[in-house]
Amino acid sequence: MNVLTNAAYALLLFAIGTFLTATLDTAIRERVWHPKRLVQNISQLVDALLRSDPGHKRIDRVLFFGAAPLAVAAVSVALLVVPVGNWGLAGPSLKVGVFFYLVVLDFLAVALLMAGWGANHKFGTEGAFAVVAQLVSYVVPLGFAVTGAVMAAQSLAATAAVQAQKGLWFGLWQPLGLAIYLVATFGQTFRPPADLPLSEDSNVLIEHHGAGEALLRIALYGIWFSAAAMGATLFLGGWRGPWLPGPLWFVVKTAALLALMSWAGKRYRRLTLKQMLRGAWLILIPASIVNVIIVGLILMVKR
Amino acid sequence: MDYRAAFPLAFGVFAIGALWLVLSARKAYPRSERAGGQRGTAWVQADVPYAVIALLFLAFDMEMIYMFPWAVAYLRVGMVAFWDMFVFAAILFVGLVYAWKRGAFEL
Repeated sequence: MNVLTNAAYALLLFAIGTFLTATLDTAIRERVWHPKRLVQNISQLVDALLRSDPGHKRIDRVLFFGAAPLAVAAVSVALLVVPVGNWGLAGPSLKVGVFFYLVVLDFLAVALLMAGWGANHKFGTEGAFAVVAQLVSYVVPLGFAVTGAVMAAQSLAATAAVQAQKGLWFGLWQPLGLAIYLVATFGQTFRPPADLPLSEDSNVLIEHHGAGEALLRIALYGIWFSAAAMGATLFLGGWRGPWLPGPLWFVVKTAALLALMSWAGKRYRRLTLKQMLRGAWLILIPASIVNVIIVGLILMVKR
Repeated sequence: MDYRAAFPLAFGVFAIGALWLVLSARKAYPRSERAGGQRGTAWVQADVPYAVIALLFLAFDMEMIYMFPWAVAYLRVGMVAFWDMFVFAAILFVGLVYAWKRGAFEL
């Protein structure tokens, strides 16, 4: 029974989170927002989901058709460890939740790699190489930024991180960690401006149509939502806050991070492969190691 | 606590997604509507400028994994833990600077 409720929790979070994220992103990117646009988007999505994804003759069938199911599976498993509130079920308190999340996050990159490589198209292959470049660049800073929160919480459970932020949010005394986490999130979830694998001439979604493309795009929104939710949980106190009920705080904080990232995606030009690799290895990774040392010092002084 | 939910969830969602792809074959996109179309295969020269960085990534990713158990025990172990990681991080830093000087990041 517990297994079923946990699975239902993750799937519900996936559905609601993806819907709200896509709505928010559309509203911010298009400035004006109208209910008609929402209806239009939903009808387009349903239409795409009902169409088949035939591929062409020379695709690698296993990789090509395995990509979309793998992507949605990865996102739903990742959302299993995101705590939404303090009532009984929420955020199944997986003891290694944060680490679990970081590991599962990479499966989306694997799915996109499969999607691009399996398409047997030169643009798809370019996109697959870009996916690996982003994976290689952003996993390490993301992990080091999260390490700061883990050190302060003294636990790998996401719920423990929320409990430990009773007094002061980690994001307030680890601003560098929060900044690195956010920047790395762009790369890990393939959001603009770090959406090189989804651009015109290196596109992992090329040759993907109908249901396959729709599922991959849903997974991309879902993983973005999960990353923002995890950021709010680890650095902004998660569902903890005064006056309002827990889940509402969770939604407010996650939406704030999503809005910030969506705005940045509109504001900045798409990064090139070189900019991402050099930026990550020469700025983000050194900065994130320094962040771990600073957090360590602060914790030792506070003790 | 509950690791058991992950496996049925992953396999269940994967199976449903795969089934959906198979069963959604009611109507396909007409060839003319498909973007891209097939212009040749992936059998072309591609530049992978980050091969060395990918090797570096292995080292740093492993270090990240070592860091998680260290981070959990950090306050319990005390100052020794800090110096341990300081030396570890310093060695890695030297490695990063070495790779940089040898041109690993000259893409």
